[in-house]
Amino acid sequence: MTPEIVSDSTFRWILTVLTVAGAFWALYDIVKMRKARGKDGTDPQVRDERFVYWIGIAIGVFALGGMLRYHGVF
Amino acid sequence: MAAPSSSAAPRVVSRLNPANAVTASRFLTLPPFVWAVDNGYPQWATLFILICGVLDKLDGAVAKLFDCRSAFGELFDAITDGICYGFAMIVVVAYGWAPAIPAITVVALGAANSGLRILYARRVGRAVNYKSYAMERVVGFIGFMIGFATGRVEVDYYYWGFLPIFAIVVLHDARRMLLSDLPGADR
Repeated sequence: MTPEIVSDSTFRWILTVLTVAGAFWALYDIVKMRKARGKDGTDPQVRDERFVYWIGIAIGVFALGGMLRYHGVF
Repeated sequence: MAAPSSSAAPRVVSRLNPANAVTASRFLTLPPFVWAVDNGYPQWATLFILICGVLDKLDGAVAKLFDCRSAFGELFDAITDGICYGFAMIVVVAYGWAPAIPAITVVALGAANSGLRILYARRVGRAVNYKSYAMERVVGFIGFMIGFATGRVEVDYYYWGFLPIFAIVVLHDARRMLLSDLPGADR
């Protein structure tokens, strides 16, 4: 078995694509958050739902930030 | 003559079902993961943790497909997440592929959350797993974090930066499980 499956640059891009795909999936919570805007904010269930969306958005932004750093953008 | 039953008996799902088999198969990715890390093969290690993550997504789909969802299955899935990702996290720390302090703190917070789930089950008097969608999101990301360690992708950034997000989710769940009357499941 060889130590490498693909070249370093291909591996780097596979990781990037997987992470960006995952980040966008998490950022889909922005859409869900907008849909939940009209719901009663005093309902604990709704508040919990919003918390979940905020976490999804935070993870998405955080993951994208890491990828930008990885590619030397900042 | 016995009175006819007014309602159908609840459907009993065997614990030996395809969804739980998929969940259990995730453990099979751990020995080759250790082998890859031990031999310094980051790409292979990333592949095995990726397979573990894909199987995590697949078990829910299999449960729906074969209509074999159960409380045990949910609990087994959560326990398997904890064991697989917790173990993989410890392995990458042991081999110096990830910073120890944030990684061990994440494992400790995850263990504390599992303990709270047991307290919650006792408090509300049911064996059903506490369903936390926020925790599901962060646990999914922990799979990525192990991949970042094996792929050497901005490891310090991801490990230190993830810690406050995970701590917030654990605190949120702790408050709900210990204090709130809000049911954690059935949403």
